[in-house]
Amino acid sequence: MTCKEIEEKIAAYQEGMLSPEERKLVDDHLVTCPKCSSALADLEKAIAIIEGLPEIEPPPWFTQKIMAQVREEAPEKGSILKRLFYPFHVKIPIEALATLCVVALGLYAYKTSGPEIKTYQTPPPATIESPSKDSTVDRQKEEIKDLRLSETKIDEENFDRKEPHVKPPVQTEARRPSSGLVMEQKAEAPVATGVAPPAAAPLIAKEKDVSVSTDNERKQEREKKVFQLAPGHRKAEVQIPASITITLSVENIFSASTDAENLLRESGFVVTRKEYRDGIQTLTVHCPAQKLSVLLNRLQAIGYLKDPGITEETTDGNVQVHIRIISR
Amino acid sequence: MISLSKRESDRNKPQQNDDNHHVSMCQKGDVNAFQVLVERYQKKMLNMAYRMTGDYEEACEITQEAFLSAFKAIRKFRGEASFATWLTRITLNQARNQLKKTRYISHHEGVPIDAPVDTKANQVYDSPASQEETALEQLERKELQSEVQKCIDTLPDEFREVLVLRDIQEFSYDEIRDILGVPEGTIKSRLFRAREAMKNCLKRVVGDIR
Repeated sequence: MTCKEIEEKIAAYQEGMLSPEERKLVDDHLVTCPKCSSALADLEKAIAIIEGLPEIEPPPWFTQKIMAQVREEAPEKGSILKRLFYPFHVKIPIEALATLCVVALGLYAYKTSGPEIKTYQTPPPATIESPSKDSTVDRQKEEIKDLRLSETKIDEENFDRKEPHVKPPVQTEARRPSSGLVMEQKAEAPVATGVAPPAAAPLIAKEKDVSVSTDNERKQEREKKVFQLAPGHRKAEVQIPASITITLSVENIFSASTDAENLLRESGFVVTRKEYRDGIQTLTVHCPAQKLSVLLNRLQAIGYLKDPGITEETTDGNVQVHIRIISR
Repeated sequence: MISLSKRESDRNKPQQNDDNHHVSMCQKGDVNAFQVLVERYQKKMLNMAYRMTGDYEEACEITQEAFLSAFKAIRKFRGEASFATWLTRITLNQARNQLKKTRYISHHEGVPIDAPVDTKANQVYDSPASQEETALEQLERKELQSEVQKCIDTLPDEFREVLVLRDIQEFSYDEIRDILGVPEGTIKSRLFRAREAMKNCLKRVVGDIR
């Protein structure tokens, strides 16, 4: 080993970190080399001096001074709020509990006040099957029964599929007293009137698209749609807009108009307005909602009746029916 | 030759457990438990700060700040390293910051023309002299200590840190690795070079050091 190599290894040798083989090589060199052994001795002496440096003493006030600063930084022990909100030095437990309490209170308030809100905001429609002594409802029942017997049979499956949409909430029905039916029906009238104009619009638009057809199947389909009134009354009810327009397609407008007037008169309907414009004869009739289905049924004897677009929702009261008689 | 068994790390296990007990009490808000730790480590931290800066007043300031920082962060201490190691790291960081600040000030403001020359190095805080020591010997000893501190002050920071931690504070290599966050090879390399520099410096200022 050369002196240069010894110089590189001398610190590790002095720290006792050389392998036994390397250590022996250094030992052998140090015996024969006074320069390297002197360097090692100097290093060991320097380390001894460094290690021998005396420890300095802290000033007597040192602990008190440090602790005074520490106590200033320390949180106050008696703070009730801090203890409440930091029981485990985290905010989570109490705040989570508070959140749960708020949610539980909210749910409770919603559940307790929920049914009342439902009654006023979305009152359930009058049900024909509901026990009621009201004569209007009884009459309606009879008419619907007649219609059901005389007209097209409605597919039961179709009806069942539509039922959930129409069916009022069971809970609300059960809670409502039977005497409240009439009052609620009256309250619904303005709502139905407000809905009427948008319901009539698609009907007119649809007329243009409908091609004239005398096909029996197609006719039956139309009739089914018109008289979906009947099954609708079984569990739910049919809502009729306060003003509807129906189109009657005939061979001769004038003879059909006369026939229609006579037929309406015989049926007890009053024609309030009669107008002829642009090849269309329009008869306006005031009709009780319950008799609307009868009216529609009888008009079919005169001509082809286009879909009046009656929806399966409910209302009550008189309906203004505009019968547009057009040439085929 | 320095024996590894001499190092504190091999004999302070019971103290570590006691430290951890006091730390957990501090974490629960017991300020008095922190006082126990202050009393136990203030001298060690003060000595380290003093050897790093060479200034007693600065060392006191650094130590106070280090304890305050440790108290503020005591809830974050998870016991992965010993409390002594953790506190030493904090103190060392405070010392580095103080050194940077001092150097910045002296670089930008300069040294006043009437300032006493090298006041820091002339401060020697020594343990009481033994009764057998003559006045001349005391003078020589203090002189030597002052020169040694001057030599330490001339070392680059990273060499000085390793020298102070290993040869003065007697931390093990594992503990130094935890404190500085550098590999053991780097620590040894820095230490050997620091010792070599110290040897040369002492030979230069003292003459024959044997």
